[in-house]
Amino acid sequence: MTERTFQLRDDELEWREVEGEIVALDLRESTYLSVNKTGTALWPHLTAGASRDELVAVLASRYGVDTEAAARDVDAFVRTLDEKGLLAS
Amino acid sequence: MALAEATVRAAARGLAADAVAVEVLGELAVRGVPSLLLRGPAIERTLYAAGEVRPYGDVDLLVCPGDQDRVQAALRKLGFTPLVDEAELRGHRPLHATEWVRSDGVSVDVHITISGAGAAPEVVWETLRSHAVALTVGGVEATIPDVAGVALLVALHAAHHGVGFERCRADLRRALDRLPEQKWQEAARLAARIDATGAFVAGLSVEPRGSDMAARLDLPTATPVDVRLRASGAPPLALGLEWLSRTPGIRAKSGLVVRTAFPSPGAMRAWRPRARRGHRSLALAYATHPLWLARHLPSSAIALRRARRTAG
Repeated sequence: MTERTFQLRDDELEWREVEGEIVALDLRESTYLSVNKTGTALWPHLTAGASRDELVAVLASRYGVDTEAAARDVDAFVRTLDEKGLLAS
Repeated sequence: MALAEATVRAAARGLAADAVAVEVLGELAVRGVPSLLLRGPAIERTLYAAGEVRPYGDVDLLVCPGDQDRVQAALRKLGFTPLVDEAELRGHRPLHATEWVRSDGVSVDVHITISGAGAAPEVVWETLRSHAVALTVGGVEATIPDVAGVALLVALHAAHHGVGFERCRADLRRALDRLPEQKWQEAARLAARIDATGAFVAGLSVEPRGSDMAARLDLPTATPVDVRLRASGAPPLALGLEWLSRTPGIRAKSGLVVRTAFPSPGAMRAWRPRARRGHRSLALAYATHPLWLARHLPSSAIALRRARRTAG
C-alpha cells in the first residue's frame, strides 16, 4: 500500500514567516493560526508534500530526538492541520 | 516563545490584504492597467527585516488618472463598491484617494495622487512610476516605489496623518534609522517634482530627527496652511474651515456650510469612520452631528489661525 502524502492546500491558504514562526491565514474559513517552531520546521515539507516517515525524519534530525517522540509531534501537528481543513484531500 | 497575539493578528491582516492585492492586481493585469502598490508591502519590504511585521490591513494603489474608469470597472467586477459616492462630496475638498470596500472587510484605496502633492495627478503618477521596482506579493509581481519613493511616501504619510498617528511616526523613525542621507536627498528631489516639498518637510518634522534631516537637506521651510494643519494633528473641522476660506463666492461658501451642517450619508461616512458600521451608527452620527460640530469648531478655528500665522 502506498504511504499517504501530506500536503497543504494550495488554494485560499496564505502564510508567511514571522520571527521564525509561521502565521497562516485560511481565506476560506476566515481564520488564522500561528504555527510553533516544530510545525514551522515541517511547513516547507508540507508545502511540497511529504510522507509521515519523511516528516518524522525531518523533526528527528532537526531536533535530535528519537523517532518515537518525533512521530508523536508529527501526528499531532498533521491531525491539527487536518481538523482545520488545511490539508489537500 | 510563542508569538504575541497582536503580532499574529497583524500578520494575518497583512496576509488578507495581500490576498486582496493579488486579486486586484490580477484583474488590473487582465485589463492592461498598470498600478503602483503603495505603503503596506512597499514599506515592509524597504524598512523592515525579513520576518518582521509592519501592520497593515488594506491595499493602497496609485493609478494613472486616465485609467480610473478601467480601475473602477475592475473593482466592481471583484465585488467592491466605493465607500462614498464622490458626488456626495461635491464642493468639499477633493479626495486624493477613493476607498473601495467589500464584505470581507479589506478595503482598497485607489489613489490618483498623493496627499501633499500640488502637482497634477499625471505628474505624480509619472514621477513615482519612474522610480518603481518590482516586488512579488502572494506569488504575483507587483510594482512598488523604490527606496527614495518609499522615503517620500513615509514622510508624506506622516504629514497627512500628523503627529498624533503613531504608526506613521514609527515608519518615519524607522526610515530615518535605516536610510542614508543620499536616499533622503533623492526623496527631496522627487518631492520637488510633484510639488510636495512643503508636505515633505512637514512630514519629516513630526519627528525631531526628521527636522534635523530637513535642515541638513537645506529644504525650504514654507509649508501650505492645509499641510501644516494636517501635520500638526489639527481638529477635524480645521481643514474644512481652511477649504471654506478658499472657496470663492458667497453662494458656494453658503452651500458648503449647509452641506457640512447637513451632510449626505456618504459625507458622514467619509468624515466619521464610526458611521460606517451600519445604519444605527449612521443614525447616531447624525444625531450627534450638531454636538460634534460645536465641540470641534472653536478649537478648529484656533488651529487654523495658528497655522496661518506660522505657515510660509
